[in-house]
Amino acid sequence: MAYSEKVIDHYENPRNVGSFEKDDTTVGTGMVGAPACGDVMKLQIKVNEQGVIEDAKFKTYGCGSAIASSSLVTEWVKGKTVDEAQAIKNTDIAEELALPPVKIHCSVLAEDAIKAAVKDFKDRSQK
Amino acid sequence: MANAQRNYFELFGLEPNFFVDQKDLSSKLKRLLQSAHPDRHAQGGSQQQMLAMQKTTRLNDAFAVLKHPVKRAQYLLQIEKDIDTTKDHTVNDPEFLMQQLELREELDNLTQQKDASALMDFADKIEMMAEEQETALGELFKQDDWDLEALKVSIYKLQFLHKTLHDIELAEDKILD
Repeated sequence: MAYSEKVIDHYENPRNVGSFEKDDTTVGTGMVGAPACGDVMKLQIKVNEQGVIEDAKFKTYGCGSAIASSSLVTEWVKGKTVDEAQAIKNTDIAEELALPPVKIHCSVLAEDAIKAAVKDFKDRSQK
Repeated sequence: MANAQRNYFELFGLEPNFFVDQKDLSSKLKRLLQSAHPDRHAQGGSQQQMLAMQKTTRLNDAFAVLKHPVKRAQYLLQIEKDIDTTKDHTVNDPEFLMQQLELREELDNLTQQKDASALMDFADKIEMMAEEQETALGELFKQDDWDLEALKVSIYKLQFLHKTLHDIELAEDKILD
């Protein structure tokens, strides 16, 4: 199967790979996985006092599309509020990366990861 | 066609059950494949041969499923409870997934260091974890009333461990090249 140029670009030059300290109260961590393909995705956001995402990092073990989807999401969420980030749709990711139907689940995983990260941030900042 | 109605277990004369004697399964496969071999039906004309070929394919499919603990568990849930656990879905179990991520990182490091003996130790560790997970899954299937949620979780955990085992094989190939 041929990957689109954008997928290859994100795969070869992934943006924002890495980690934040997950116990930091300004950080939200989303961990998701897909058992069918064995993909594991960690997506983290660093949020300022205004509720704006200042930085984002990811670490993904999986296929090129999963890596590209999470890389793209970390680019997109920077500068967004957490609520805006939560509104990101997998269809937008799939469209941007021109994912073929069999790889749509990779974009779903990335959407689930950012939602989980925002939820984690909100849960822990309320404490 | 009677064969199409029989499930994979029945093809091998077995009751649907998670516990399958693998030695017995292999010897049954050999015997069944022999009797279904198209050459044995050479006198029977093209239709007979076609049926024999279909039977061979189905036997091989069945064997592949019954041999593999994850596929066998998924198949069992499918035929007994009509639950499909093979489709893509997202799991959200931070603790388990963090552990999986760390295992993959460890594998990456070992691959980069080209440390074949450490990689073998790592493979042993994961195999042990997979065996433990398979035992736990077996315990769930032993219960009279299946806890379907627990079964699903147990299956997906085993899937992740098998994925790591698969990645270890790829890493071993890379190092040996």
